[in-house]
Amino acid sequence: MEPDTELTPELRGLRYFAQAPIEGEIEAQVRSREAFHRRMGGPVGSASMPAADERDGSPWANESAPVDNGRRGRLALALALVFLIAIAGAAVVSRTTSSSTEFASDASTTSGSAYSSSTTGAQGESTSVAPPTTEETEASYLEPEVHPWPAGAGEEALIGGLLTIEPDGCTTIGGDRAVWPAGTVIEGDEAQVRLADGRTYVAGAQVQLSGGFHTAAETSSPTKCEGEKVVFVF
Amino acid sequence: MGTSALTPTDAELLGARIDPQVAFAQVFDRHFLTLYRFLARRVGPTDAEDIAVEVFTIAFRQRGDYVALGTSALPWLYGIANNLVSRHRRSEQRYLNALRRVPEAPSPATEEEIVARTDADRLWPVVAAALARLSDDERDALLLFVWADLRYADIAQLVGVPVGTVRSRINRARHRLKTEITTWNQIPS
Repeated sequence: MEPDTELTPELRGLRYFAQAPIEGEIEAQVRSREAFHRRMGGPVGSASMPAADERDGSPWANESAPVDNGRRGRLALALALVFLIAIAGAAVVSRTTSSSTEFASDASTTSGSAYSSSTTGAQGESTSVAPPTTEETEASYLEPEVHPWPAGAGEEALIGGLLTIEPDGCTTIGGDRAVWPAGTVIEGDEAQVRLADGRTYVAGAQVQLSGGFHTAAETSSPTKCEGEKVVFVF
Repeated sequence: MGTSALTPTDAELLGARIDPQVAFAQVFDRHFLTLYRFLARRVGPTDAEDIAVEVFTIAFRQRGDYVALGTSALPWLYGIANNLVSRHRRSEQRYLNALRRVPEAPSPATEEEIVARTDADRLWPVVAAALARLSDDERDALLLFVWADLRYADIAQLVGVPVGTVRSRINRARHRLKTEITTWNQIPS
């Protein structure tokens, strides 16, 4: 507790209720654990989830996920990698034989960047550290506000701050409206932005990117996104 | 939280190179309920569940960036949760505005708890309404302080502003709550 801040009656009441359980919280924990499992449970993730017989007494105890130790885990990992490479190959073929969809574009960049990681800060800039789950690759994608240039083709000022992603596709970095390179998509239920070159940035993270600072008047296309100060990401 | 081999710290679990998901499951188990309660009081139980899953998903993906603020990863998880709540502002407003009924709480045992409970029972409706009227920044800072029990310095680091800014926001929020309660107390019943 900060020495200069005593708990006044209103804050005492607030603090008191913070200790109370929420009705149905145990069920919520079980459901959340399963949801988390599904998210992490792509070909690789599910193989790495804890085994029921190893986690007695834990909410993970009733998991039906495969055991993650020894050979079985490594075998599943290898199979998963083969699976991902096959998906990536299919996506590349798809892009070269027909007009590419966002899905194909994303699949190809995802496979290229899965496991490459470059992150900073407590909740910092992030590229993928895990392969896409089945759920993610089947998800529909939302296009954020984009400018016409590809990544790396423009300004190089340092842009940084908290990344937010709204359900309507509007994004902000450090509170400023963000405009992304052509080909950028939002995926994972507005959980992250993925650039065409494979970089991903998770909502709620502190990010650092290069780009330029502009005003709303300098953006050419009409948009539903609000904000006078605009950052162009490259 | 101990540091013995039997009870690894959160930092040790998040840094596990072998079986990282098994190790992370322990972090999930340790902190889910605390985090869920924090979220449920802000945006309601349904959204809280979704956000909690999102928090742990992001935490797992970014565990390599974890910088311990202490022995517990909870402040770090609160920081992620707080950022995600910013995408649910309308739910938060709606939920706080709907909280006219005093929430369930444990029966008070000590004299201090009895005072707190009495304050809470009496003031909760007006406090909930006042919380909804605070600015987002003020509410974030206040609730991270009062509900998450974080220090000013931790809040500053998580929110990405100087400590003085956090202090100002909390003081403003307290002042507003106090003003609303004073006004409410003066209304004849």
